[in-house]
Amino acid sequence: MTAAIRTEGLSLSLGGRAIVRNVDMTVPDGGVYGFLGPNGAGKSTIMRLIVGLLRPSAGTVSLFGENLAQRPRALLGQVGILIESHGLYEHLTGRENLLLACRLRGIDRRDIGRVLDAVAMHRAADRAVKTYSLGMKQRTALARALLGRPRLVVLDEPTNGLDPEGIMAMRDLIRELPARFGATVLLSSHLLGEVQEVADHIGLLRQGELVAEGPLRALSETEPLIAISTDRQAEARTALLALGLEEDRDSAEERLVFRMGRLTAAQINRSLVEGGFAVSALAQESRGLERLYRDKLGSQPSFEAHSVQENRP
Amino acid sequence: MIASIEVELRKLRGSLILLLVAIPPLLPGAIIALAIATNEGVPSWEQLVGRLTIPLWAMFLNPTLLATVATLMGQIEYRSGSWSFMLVQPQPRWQLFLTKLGILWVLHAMMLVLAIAGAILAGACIGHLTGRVPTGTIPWAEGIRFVAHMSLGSLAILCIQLWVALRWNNFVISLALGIAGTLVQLAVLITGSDQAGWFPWVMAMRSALSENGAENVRAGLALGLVLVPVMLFDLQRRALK
Repeated sequence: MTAAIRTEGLSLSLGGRAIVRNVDMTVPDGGVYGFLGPNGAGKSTIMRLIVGLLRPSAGTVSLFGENLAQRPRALLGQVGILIESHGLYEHLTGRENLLLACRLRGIDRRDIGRVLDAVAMHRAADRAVKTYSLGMKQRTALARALLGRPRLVVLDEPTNGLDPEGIMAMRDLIRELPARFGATVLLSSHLLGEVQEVADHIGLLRQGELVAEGPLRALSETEPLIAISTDRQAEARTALLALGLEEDRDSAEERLVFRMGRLTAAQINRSLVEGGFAVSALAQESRGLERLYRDKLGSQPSFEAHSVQENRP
Repeated sequence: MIASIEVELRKLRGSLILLLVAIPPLLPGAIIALAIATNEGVPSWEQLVGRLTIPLWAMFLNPTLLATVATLMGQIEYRSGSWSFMLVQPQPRWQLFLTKLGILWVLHAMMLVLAIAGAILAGACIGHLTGRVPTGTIPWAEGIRFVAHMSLGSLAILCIQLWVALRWNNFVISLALGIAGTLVQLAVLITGSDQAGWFPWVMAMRSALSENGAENVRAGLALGLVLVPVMLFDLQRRALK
């Protein structure tokens, strides 16, 4: 599959401190790639490197198979961005902001109607942006990113500060982008729930390092676990270890949790029963993205925004 | 380049910058109107333009207004957080900064024209209304020379002010620089010192007030032309945000 984005050995050091470390990342063409990591993990920095806003200390960024450093302007002409803040000129109207983008990118201004429709901002387009709510600003900024039918849309925490309704609307829009606009989406978020809902590929980032990457389904389903309760837990633990199974860190006295390895649930159950244990509960569990997040990033993931900061005019 | 110019001009619409370019330059005209209306004597055009408008502009309004307009131009990008958007556009980055500099230069020239035209218009109108029409001939030549000298001689401070305004998010830095430059320039004037000819703010002031104004125009312009590529080189490699 062609990669919309490929980075090789991407690194950035500032003042002797490594901010981004040797990131090899592949964003497949089409679909939504969710870039997940806690605040300060380096998501925005990597996005800024990908769109050429920062120069890497080492490594390369390729967009659509071409090296960004060699043809930056031509390649960036195919990228729509919404990085860090909406970046709209508040004293201008929404439509005027889009007009500026059209002029700079050489896009036919008739495209403005299409993108305003897509984000449902037609009716407010002739009002000054300073009168918009935060959600409207984000939608207008997304409209601007969609001008000219870009092949790649880079969205940095696009739901930050939105109210629950705004978050849902924005997620719906993002989910639709590949099918409706033919764009690959690179989305960053510190919210696991958000990425789970919209992305089909994910990359997990910790302290500037990409610690896991792949299709969401595959990453969510790797290394199944088995949770077991018996009449003699301590002895059961010894028996399971003797089978070559690895105990999971979530395992507790009342509920043993083991990585299944190559064995099936039926095989494990049979071994226990044949060993004379009375098995009262045995359940196979998917590892899940949450577990992967905790294992790889060593912290509890956030599922939703903690505070809602919708600014109403 | 035309697209960049058009975009930068559109950004000015409805911004504070246009108000600042249009209103404060009329201050000399307002003072002239007040002076004619309240004084018994009849002033001369030479007094109104040569001894009031031009010194007031060169000593005080020029550096302070330039600092303020440049700061606002920087803040248009910083306040809206639009650097990320502007810097990934297909145009080369130097073009964006050069366009901003060109527009600042044009706005500065417009302020100069407004200041002179406002002063002459105020003198003529209030003179006719009060019957105390300024004596002598309207000094058009002096006005034109002033606009040309100030405009060219201010290129260095214009470049420095814009550089600082675009380089740092904090508007206080740019304004503080403007105030500091103005104070040094005033100190040089008050003490009558012939030192500090290398100081860009002094160059700009002397290009309008000094007898060897042309020399200072050349110096201000030359320094400005040296600074422009350095500014463009520095800004285009910065991670502005």
